[in-house]
Amino acid sequence: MRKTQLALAAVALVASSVALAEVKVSGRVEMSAQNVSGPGDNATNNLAGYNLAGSEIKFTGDEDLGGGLKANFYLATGFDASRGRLGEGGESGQRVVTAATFAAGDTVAVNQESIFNRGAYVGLSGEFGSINLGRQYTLTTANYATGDVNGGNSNSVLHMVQSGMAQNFWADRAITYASPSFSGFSASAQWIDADRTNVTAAGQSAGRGSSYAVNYSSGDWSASYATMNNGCLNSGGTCWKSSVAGVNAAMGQWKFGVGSTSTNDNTGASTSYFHDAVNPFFRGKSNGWFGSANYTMDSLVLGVSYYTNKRAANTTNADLWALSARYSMSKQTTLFAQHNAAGKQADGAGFLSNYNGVAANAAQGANATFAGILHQF
Amino acid sequence: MKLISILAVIATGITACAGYAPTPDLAGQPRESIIRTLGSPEREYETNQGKTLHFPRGPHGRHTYFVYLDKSARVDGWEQVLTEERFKQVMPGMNQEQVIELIGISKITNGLARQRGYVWHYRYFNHQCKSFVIEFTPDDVVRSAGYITRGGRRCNYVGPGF
Repeated sequence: MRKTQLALAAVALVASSVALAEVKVSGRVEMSAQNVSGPGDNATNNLAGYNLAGSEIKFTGDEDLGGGLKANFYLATGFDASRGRLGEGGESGQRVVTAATFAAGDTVAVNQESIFNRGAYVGLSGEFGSINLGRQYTLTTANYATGDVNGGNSNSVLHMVQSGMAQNFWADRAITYASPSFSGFSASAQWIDADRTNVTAAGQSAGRGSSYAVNYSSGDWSASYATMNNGCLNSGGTCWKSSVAGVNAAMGQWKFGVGSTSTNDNTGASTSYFHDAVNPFFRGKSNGWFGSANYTMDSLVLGVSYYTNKRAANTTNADLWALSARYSMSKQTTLFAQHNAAGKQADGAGFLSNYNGVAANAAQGANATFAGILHQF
Repeated sequence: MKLISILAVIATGITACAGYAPTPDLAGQPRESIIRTLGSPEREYETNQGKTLHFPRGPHGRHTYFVYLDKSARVDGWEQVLTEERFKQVMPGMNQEQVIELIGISKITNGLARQRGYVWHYRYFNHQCKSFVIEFTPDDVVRSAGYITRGGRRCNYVGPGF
């Protein structure tokens, strides 16, 4: 009897291994030393686990269903390697939000509560394209990097762009269709049925709405345009509309990118909300643009990025410079260093202090310098 | 915003005219027709059946087309070679030429520190933002190969690294 049980267990183990054969475990671990300085003597030096792309672990896989049809899934969670804990804030990384910072009436749905805060979806793909259901990036988020050739940096211009874009990182309860490629062209559409209404600052997820994107990629250049409406399918309340466009091109060892963002809502006013207890960001009408360039010298890539955002209904602007260096040790291991300089405007200062723990104010900017290592597995 | 959108549309139109992929009407056509449609091949070499022409669409494009000519230099067929089936055949110990014959040349490369060789990156069309990456020794021999899943907002990123 015992032998039979052991044999069955062995068979089950083998069967289980076969069933999981297509599952891939991958991710990255990142740590860096940072110096952050703000107004006055407000500065900090410490180790951080989130400055470049953030640490994460993901499970992906697909199953061949025959006839070119595949089932696939994606599960990813961010974690803070500096303390070995979960809840490293989705792709926004270090933006740890607490309930006390939310506006009255907002529902708390912060990323710390999520197991798979960096995406959880399942779907089908084939000649028709793909359709995925679950927690996914909004299509505007997914298309930021087109205009930023230094993309993949959560503590840089892209992060700022997303702040300007009213934090529409995630689409919960979403259905996304992506077309196949037609001679380099592709398009996507997304319907979002998030469980919260008009909340984007808190959990970085959109309200009920939809999102669309078109892309073209060929040879030495690519372009994309994405737009989304956030909360516009809710009955009443605020309806936000955001868009991002970008172009980038490669010229020998050089790469250049430029893009623009636009956000507007139906309130007719610039109403502030809060990322944290200190730093107000503003919603309402805003427009921004960003530019970037990098140069590859063998194993070293040097980059520069700039972002600025102007808000029509407010005198405060936001701007940020970032200088970066990446040094490849292998196809999986990269050493990095970067300096960020935020402008003296409230938004710019808030950008840095938002997640580095340094208080800032509207009169003075802030700087952050960090260097570290990232390993992919 | 308007300016960027207009530039994107203009640039798209210009590049679209150059031709991205072989079309069915090219079957049986002479070599000149495929050159006229797709531009000059990145690589062209003789085989037992005729000739093979390589048309990589990187670094931004996610496809590489091999066009096969018969012995009379007419189009006998073509294939999009950036597929996981082909990537599986890339093994440590292969040399650079063997890799190129299998999946074409990479248009995204970077060196490695301490003169340990270099890396080729292949963006390819898939729905999980995966890239195929090959690490070569300084002697142009494959040391290792595998996938990187960028995902999310880095999906459109074109370059080495994470």
